[in-house]
Amino acid sequence: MAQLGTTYGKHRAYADSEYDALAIPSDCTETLKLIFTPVNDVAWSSRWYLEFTDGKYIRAVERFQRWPGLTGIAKRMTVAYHYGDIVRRNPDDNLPGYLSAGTDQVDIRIDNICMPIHLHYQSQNPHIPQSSVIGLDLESVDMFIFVKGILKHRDTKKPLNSIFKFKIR
Amino acid sequence: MSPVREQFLTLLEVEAVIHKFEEKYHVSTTEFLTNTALRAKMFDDDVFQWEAFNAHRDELERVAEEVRSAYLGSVKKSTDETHSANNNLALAA
Repeated sequence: MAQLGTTYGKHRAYADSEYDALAIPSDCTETLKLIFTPVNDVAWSSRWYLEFTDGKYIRAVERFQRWPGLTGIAKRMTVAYHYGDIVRRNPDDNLPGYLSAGTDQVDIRIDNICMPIHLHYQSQNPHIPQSSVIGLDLESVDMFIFVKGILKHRDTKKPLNSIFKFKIR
Repeated sequence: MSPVREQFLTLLEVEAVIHKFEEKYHVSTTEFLTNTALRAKMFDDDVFQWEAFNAHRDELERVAEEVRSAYLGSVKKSTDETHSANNNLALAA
């Protein structure tokens, strides 16, 4: 769904149904509940933080904006899905803080910050481009696919590359 | 009712958030958008929010301009029609 054009109405309907169906485990707290900030049907952003009692956290943020040249259709412009250790906290909101130019621990991260969508796996560096990720279309991952994958990984102890079905070239 | 939250912000509220980031990092939004070295030192979520609120402001301003243009277009049209009607009245007189 993520790579296709959409609208806020359709995206919210999808998010509401996925969120309602999500079983959040007892060792997990939503320190920032999923929140949408819409402008209209073709522009919005969302943020979501989940923290675990073992010191790990998930951050899922997205920003959609009108698709240039297409009337009434929005495109996902910014995405960052992160799972890893809580290294520090942002003093403004006490949520886990991540520095992209640091050495912060990462279990898995998918983002398109500073370069086209790419993967970080088991460490902050390298930034692994889509061309080196076999078996997983990074653009096809949305926040619910990511969060459910992390919850499954924690529940089953299966490696993340097995959960998300990818290999790195 | 969905437990997922939603917030609608006015242009003033969005500008207040952008101003908060400008004060926190002591740079303008233009500097933030163009200085990649600066962004690399910032909290990832601050970068996301600053960009998102800037885009939010742009979209609000774009929509406001659309409404303004449509309004001015309708005012001009009705003024033209009024003039035409007045001219017809003048001719009839």
